Amino acid sequence: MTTRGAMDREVVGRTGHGLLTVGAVLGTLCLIAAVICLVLGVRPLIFLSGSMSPTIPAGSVGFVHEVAATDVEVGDIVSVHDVSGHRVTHRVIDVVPAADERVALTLQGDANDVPDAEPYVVRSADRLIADVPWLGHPISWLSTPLGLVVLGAVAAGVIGFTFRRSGERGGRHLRLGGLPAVAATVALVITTQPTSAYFSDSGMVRSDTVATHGVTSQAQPLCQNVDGILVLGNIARMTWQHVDARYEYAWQLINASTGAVASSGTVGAGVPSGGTVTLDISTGLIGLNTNYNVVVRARLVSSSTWIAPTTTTTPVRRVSILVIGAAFRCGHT
Amino acid sequence: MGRHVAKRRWFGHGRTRALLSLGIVLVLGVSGTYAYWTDSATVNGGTITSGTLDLTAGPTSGSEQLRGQGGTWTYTALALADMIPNESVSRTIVVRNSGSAPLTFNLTAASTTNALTSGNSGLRVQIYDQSTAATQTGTPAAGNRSGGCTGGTLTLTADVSTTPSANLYATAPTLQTGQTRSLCVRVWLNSAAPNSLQSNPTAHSTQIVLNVSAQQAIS
Repeated sequence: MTTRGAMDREVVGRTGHGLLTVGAVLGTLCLIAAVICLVLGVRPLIFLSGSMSPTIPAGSVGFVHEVAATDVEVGDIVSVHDVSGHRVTHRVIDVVPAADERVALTLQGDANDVPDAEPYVVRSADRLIADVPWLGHPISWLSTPLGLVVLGAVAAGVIGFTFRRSGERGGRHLRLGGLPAVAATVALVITTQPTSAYFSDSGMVRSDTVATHGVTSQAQPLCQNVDGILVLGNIARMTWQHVDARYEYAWQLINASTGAVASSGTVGAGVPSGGTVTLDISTGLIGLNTNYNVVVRARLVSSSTWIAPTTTTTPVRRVSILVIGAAFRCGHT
Repeated sequence: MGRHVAKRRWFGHGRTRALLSLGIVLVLGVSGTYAYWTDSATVNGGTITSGTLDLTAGPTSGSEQLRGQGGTWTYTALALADMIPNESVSRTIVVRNSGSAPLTFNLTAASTTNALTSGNSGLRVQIYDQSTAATQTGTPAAGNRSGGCTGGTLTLTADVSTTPSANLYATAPTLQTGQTRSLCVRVWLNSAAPNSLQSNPTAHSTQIVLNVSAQQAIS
């Protein structure tokens, strides 16, 4: 039992030393990276989305360096803030100089098939100089509540180990050799900011044809003489086929020589589609022999301003017997 | 052997290595935490989203027509041929987040031509947000087709032209993965539309275009 316990301790000791060595190497790399970043003014960013993939997958850490907006060129990957303050890291596809040393940058994610909605007008931009895939995941995880707890526990454990009683010296003795490194790390905080590198998608819903009706004229009316009782009720009757149930017809009786409108009206509203529209032209008892034209124009019942571009003209005449007993007949004299 | 011992004194000492290990914790931890502080209101520092962003749309929930990146869906039921003034058509469009990340979306309306544009008395598009149904009455023969939207809020009224309208939403709403939003689109020819818009002697025809754009939501 004793032997096995010693072996266990030996294994645990070796594993612990191995972990400690790996941790020390990684920790040193982190510290070096932090120092380089601070000295060169380089800032790390976590890519929260994959809109720059496959160039930069989600969860990568990118390193950016601030440059004047006028130095930005098409093809660069830059990180800027949008109007709502979110950081967006996308590729520059267009650069338009604006007033006051500002530049309007049009950006597009490599994985997006459309540019970002609005150009970003900026005076400076953070240009991407390097990126490391995957590294963002542990950093991002460490900032979750659980990650913070784990982080705190590990830090407490390591600090406890560092400042434990020294068995060799047999007394409480603080090992200060590593402290400057810790202090330096605390001082050299890297401000890793999340960057969205938005994904975007845009599509189009298109209607089918939306088109208006064209108001079409009726065919040339047929004119027939219809006789009443004796000559008193003789009229000219015009008929034509109803063009559309939505139509009515405005007509005018126009004096052929003077152009004056003798009378006018509307017919056809309510006639079923394909039915026959009838217009009777009659007159009072008194009148002289005169030639007239009946001009008929089709239009919509509901919107009477929508009219057929052409009209039909039908010649008619008033025929009187000694001034009285006037009648209408088809055609001119 | 002597050099080895000397090396062990510096790097090999457990405490030194432990302190150096603490470097990882501090650099990663502090940087990550700092990110969390700076944008805690808008950015959850723990969320890295890979995967896809795909806004789809269809006439009903579950029949997505506008799939994948970009694309055009011709909604054949959204049509109004041979129309006269005051006729309208209403149809439902269900927008769905079919990707794997939350998104915000917005929409503008336009027409492919200006054939039916006439100030504020031409072709008009109205969108009712979160409407439950679109209704349709009347016949083309009678010239009294009328579309309606049941429920919802009239969010956009646009006299359409080739220049896109204002955004449907002042603040783009968020759709979680799988979430849908029902829109009722009403296309109406103004009752005061002038005679110049009719199709005789020149055909006046267009298509309504709804440009739907989605952006990954930062929640």
